[in-house]
Amino acid sequence: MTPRHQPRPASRWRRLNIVAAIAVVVASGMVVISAVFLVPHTSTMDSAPDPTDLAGNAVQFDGPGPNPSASATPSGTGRFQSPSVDLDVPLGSLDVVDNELEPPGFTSAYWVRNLGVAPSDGADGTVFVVMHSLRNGGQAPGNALIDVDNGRARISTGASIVVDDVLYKVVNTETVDKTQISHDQSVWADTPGRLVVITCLQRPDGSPSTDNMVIEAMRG
Amino acid sequence: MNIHAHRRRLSTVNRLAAVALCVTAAVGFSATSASAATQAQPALTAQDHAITDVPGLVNGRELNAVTGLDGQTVNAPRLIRSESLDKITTAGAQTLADTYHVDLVIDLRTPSQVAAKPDVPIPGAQNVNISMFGADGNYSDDTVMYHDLVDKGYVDAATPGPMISAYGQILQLLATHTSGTVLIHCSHGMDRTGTVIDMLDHILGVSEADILHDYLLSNTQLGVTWATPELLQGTFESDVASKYNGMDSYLSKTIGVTSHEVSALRERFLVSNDAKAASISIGGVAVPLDAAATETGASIAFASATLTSADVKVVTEDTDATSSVTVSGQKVDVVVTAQDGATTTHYRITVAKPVLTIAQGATLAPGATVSISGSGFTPGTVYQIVVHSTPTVIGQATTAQDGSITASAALPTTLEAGAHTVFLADSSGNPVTEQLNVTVLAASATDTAASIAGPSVATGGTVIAQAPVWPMVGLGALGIALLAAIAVAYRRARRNLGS
Repeated sequence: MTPRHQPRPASRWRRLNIVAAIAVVVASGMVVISAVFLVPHTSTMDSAPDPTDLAGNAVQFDGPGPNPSASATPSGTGRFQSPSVDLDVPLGSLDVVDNELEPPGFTSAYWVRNLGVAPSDGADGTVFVVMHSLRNGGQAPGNALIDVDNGRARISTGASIVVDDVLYKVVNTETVDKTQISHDQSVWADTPGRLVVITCLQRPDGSPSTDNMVIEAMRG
Repeated sequence: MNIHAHRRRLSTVNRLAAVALCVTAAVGFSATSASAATQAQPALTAQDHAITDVPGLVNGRELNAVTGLDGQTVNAPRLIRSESLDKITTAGAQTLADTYHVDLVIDLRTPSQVAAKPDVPIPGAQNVNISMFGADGNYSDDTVMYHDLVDKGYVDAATPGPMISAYGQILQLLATHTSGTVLIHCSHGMDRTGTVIDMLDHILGVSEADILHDYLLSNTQLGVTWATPELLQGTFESDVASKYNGMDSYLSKTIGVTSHEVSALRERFLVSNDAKAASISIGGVAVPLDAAATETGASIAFASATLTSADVKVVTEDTDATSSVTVSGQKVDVVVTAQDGATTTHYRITVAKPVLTIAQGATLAPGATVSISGSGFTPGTVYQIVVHSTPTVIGQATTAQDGSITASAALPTTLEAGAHTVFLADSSGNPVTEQLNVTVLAASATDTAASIAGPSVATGGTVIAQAPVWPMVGLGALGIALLAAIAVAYRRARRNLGS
């Protein structure tokens, strides 16, 4: 290892060492970065976990989330069932807040407490029920009711809907522009024995929904 | 005996001379002569209707056309009073029938007086004889006669005697005879006829002065001075006042004139000055009469494209009153003229087209459903709901029984943003209401429009897109492979250098 006798190998060795060190750093960085991305990091966030749909997918709201003042409960009033489209989910409830209805969960149907009548009083007025539908492959209760490819309802006229053990038969389905539904008196009329189910009609291209699907049923 | 005998001694010749004298006196006497004679024979005035064109008729005159109850005028031609009709000629009788329309003669004389001087019959007229004095009507003392003119033969209500019975019959006859003219007479047409007319005039509300004037005209027309205030007022009316508590009580309680008969007599013998409308309606909408009778007039709402006088219905209080209607645009003038032809009432009505109300306000979204209401429409009529500027019928409205309308219609979604008008039209499209101004918002502004019917519904969501795993796994694997490659290369280089 006498430097005097090996001048050329000594300088070449030094160059190799430098190249090797750089390569090690780069390679180590690649490993660390991949590790950081691949290791679960839920513990790094304080907020609640993302909600999930009926299939367990993590999902999120299109637009701002629901107002907590809606005092929504995801269940408690029996079940919402529509056998012809294989739908059977818990029935919760919520309030209209700031003239908007937005359910917080993606696995329940919700009846509206401050519009029309309660399901138990369904003979006296309209029961309003809302539920989410999801785009990009999600499975919320509303997805069972819509035919995305054809832009129409999947549930057909005459089909049964059971709300808290009360049977209704679908009499009409229609799509209403989301910007117009609040002006549509025919949707919000309070009529004895009527059920109105509203969800979003999703679009084939997966972009956010612009229409509501309104399903109108009468006590059977 | 002597006074009446004095009367009897006045032959027809003397009496005619007296009449001539009297007429001369009436014409010749100036206003300054206020002697007892002129008071006893008052001059005829414009209100007195002496009959002079019936040959043989003596002391004939109609009721005096003076003011009676509530300012109404006595309907003079409905009654003629006179002396007995024994001297009228056939032509005179015909004139009474044709010109004066006499179809009822009430003869107040006793049967013997009738037999002595029978009436010349008036063609077509009925003749009724009601003897006030009963069988005996000859008096020698006029004062005694005027006492008897109150209640001759009266015992009690069950036995009223001929006088009170006669008054009851006469007044009942006058109240119920509604066709032609009544001619009522006794012998001279002065005393019995005088007290009957006194009662009738009292019922009609004629003043004491006018009653006395008419009574004294018998002196004027006969040329005598037999009729005096002392007989009519000092004897007859004085007895009525003292014995029967006044004329009203005498008429109603003693004679038994009913309030119905009183009304009928006033209806018959007074010219109504009632120019009031009982009701005015325009297209079935009642007009407030008190307001309409003012200078300003009344205002009502009634839906009509073109108002005509046929839309105006007037009912007068008095059936003899007449009405005329003038329509000028939206203004209606009604004039009711009373039976007297002079008294009128003017009613002015402005007919406004009904004003509509839209429950949702005047600012609306295109396509908004509007709730329209209004009143003043013809019940059961169907109107078109129209929106302008390009006339578009957007619905129909049917009037309820009370004339109100409530209807819903949707504005066309194609309606341009900006000012528009909404109104109701008849089947021809003519507006029947005022035009209601509305503003239609641009489509983008509809969220703030007043037509909010419910909430909006946000039920959209999406599956969270997962970050791709394989690139990172690849990156890690590449890094590990690189480290391994470096280690192998480093060891090999070191071995080469060392050997």
